[in-house]
Amino acid sequence: MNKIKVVANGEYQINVNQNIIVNDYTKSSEVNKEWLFIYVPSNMDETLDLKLCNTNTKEKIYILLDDNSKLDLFMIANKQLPSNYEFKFIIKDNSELVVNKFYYGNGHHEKLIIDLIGYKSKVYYNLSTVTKDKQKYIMNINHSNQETVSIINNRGITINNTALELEINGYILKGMKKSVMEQTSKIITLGENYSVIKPNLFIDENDVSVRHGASIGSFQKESIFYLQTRGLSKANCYQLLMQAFILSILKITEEKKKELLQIVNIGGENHECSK
Amino acid sequence: MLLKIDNLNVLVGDKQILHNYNLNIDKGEIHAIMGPNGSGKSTLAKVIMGADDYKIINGDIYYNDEDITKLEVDERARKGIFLAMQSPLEIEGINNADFLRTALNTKTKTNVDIYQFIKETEDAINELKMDLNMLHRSINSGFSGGERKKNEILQMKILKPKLIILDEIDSGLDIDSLKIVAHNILQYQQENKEVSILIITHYPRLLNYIKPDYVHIMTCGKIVKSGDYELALKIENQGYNNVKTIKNQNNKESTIKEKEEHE
Repeated sequence: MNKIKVVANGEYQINVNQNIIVNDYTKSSEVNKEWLFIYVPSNMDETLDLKLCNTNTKEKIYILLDDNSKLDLFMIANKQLPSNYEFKFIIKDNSELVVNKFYYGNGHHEKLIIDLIGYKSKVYYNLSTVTKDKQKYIMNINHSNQETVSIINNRGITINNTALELEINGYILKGMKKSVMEQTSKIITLGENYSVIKPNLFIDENDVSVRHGASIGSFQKESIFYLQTRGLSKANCYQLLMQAFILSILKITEEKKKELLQIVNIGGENHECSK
Repeated sequence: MLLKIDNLNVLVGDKQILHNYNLNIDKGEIHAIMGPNGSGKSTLAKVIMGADDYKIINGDIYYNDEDITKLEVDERARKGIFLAMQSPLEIEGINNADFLRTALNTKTKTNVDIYQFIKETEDAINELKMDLNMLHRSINSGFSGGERKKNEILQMKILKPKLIILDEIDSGLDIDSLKIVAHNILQYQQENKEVSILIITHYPRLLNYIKPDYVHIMTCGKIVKSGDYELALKIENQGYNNVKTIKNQNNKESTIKEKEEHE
């Protein structure tokens, strides 16, 4: 199992095989040493666990998938300190990036750029976040080649009266025929709602398939009632519904789900990334 | 007396749905409540269960001689009241088996033995002629109408309630599924003689399989007539509009404090 743990700003524990190359800046002229640079060479099919720990408050992460490669990326961040991240994912011809990402914690600001530069390049991006203080995510997805696919699923739960802002900008340039772009964002507010979703689709080509959905609300009263009629207390119902909401979009193993549940149930304390 | 509803008046918003409602159900009895759309049948089921969309302006609900009017929904459920819903919800992400086991653990206040749970659940699934895979899917996710109703009965069989409220459990069921559902409910009651059942339905179809001891006709938020199974058959022939003219041939009185005046 390939693992990278970012323990502090610019400080990493790297345990990966030869198919994943870390911080070899000769592999791209676009990236410099400010970034944690992860390169997946052509014709590789790999998985990577990336853990972002609490003391790591500012990070820039660049992932490049060369032609005909696939990376299944699981990211987890358990943040008690305010943090500011920047991500850039570049995906070349016939390559596929699958991202399952879970955030738990306080104030956070994140900017993500996904460049689908390769023909038939694909990204499947699933983000679940539990927000205890203001968080803002700006995502720019650029379809810069034909038959590219981006499927973006975001789910957030705001605890108390916090705010979560999701700005998702999808661009399909002229001539990028047969591209597919889907965005779904849902936020559940457990207090007053100060959250915002801005789904922006900038399409300059007719021969494409595009759809989006966005919703902000609370858990259905009917769901709470249904679970209660089977004997579960209101607190248990909320806990179950929260777990279901944040976990159901993540395509991860049961073992990983248990790790995430542990973070949620113990409020982020005592997890390996909480220090 | 297992359930006693005493002079209950209930509002939804500013509209009164139940008017001076009285109903007594003894241990082991089967009651059916029939009535046209909008007569307040489902409201009654949810009020017994404690849904907070409804405001009780006066009256009380007693269960096993304990006033439960102010108890939370889950407290009532843990005491043994079970509502099989008319339209069971789909809850994405909560696994059927995990949910059932959590509910059972909560009710019994123990950690139920996993092997015993699996065996009992699989037996119940087979008896209901359900697909075993449904146990590992999200609650009612992708289930047909009939499968959802069977899932309600599966939960009933596992949670072992003392009072079962069936809110239009027959709607959306084909004839084969209806027989299976009815057979499982009856079997459960025969194995647990003190279990009482309150069937809420539009049609007497289900009552052909689960014969009620008492049938009550409800219109405009109150019971306007009570009788036995024959009353259900007369309703089938004559409809609800003529309910006041239906004569109760064998003159069997129910345990209802029936109010004849009805606006």
